[in-house]
Amino acid sequence: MRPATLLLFISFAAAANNGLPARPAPSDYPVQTTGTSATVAADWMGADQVKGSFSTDLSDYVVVEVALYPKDGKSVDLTTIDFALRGDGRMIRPVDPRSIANIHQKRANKRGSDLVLYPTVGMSTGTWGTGGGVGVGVGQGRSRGPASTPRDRDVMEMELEEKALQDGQAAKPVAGYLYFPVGKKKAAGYDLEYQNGDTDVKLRLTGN
Amino acid sequence: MGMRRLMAVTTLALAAVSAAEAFPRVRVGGVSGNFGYMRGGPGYWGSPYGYGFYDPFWYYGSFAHPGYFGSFAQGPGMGEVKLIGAPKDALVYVDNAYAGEVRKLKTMWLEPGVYNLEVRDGDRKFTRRIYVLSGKTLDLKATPTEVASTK
Repeated sequence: MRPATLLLFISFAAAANNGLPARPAPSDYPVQTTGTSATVAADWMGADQVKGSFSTDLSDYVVVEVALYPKDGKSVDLTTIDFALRGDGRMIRPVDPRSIANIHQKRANKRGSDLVLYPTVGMSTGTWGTGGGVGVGVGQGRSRGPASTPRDRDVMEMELEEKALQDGQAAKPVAGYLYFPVGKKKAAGYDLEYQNGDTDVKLRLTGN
Repeated sequence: MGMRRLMAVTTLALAAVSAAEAFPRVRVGGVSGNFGYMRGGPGYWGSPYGYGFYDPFWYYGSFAHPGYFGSFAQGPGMGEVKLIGAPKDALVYVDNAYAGEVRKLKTMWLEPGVYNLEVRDGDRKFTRRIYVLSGKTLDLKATPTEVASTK
């Protein structure tokens, strides 16, 4: 099997099990609220926690573990774009893993430089005679930063996707991460909003 | 402006060969070359001490400066995995294949990719799906605490 085909196969196989296991009860999360058709619970991951859990650099993101517990007998059409983070006068939607991986890989591919030394030996000849010499030139080249290859992009995408909250019909509790691009400077608290049909809830996230 | 010079220089630089993607912080360079023809005309050669001389002759000649260049790269092609807190004689498995003892694998270099890592110490184990990125270090607190199932 060719590597690309194998990777695709693994991606599809993994997609079925993506997301995180929901904690036993909504009360196992720091905040929770109940809407018409489901209970939504959330946990804002601290910076250290994110650093320890992800290989991908997510320092520009607020990572929230979100769980959705549909009410008995109800099924929720879950779409991550229905979530939003509100804080500092901004409303931010979650970004999909592929975009994050692309941004990181392109950014890493642009940065970095090499110090290049050019030792040379020379010989000159002319009407003045013949002579030789040695010299060293210094220049600057370009190098790739960490996580800059296409393979890295695939790995980052796979990591983020496997842990992300998945779109789809949810008839039983589901959980996963949402990645909000807020930048390096983060607010002390955010409101996590979820609007889907007759469910319209808001959770206050604090503590980071 | 007493000195007039005509210089024709052709610079040839062959592309740098990055032969060390497989191992970090080493990069092999390439070769370069300067070839040219110089021609100078009559002019006055001065000196900071106030005296000099007039050179009435033309001079000309060719030069060749072949060179080799190397560089110090910052773009490693592999990722580092450090096992922290694992007993030295525990066994390391990568994707279910035995890789060695912790004492020899406290630091591992792996190609970018997704791996299932397992550290077994008697009836205890540590398992983790790891995501290795080039040029990055993954510090894993790999203390075996789970009870390994008996097959």
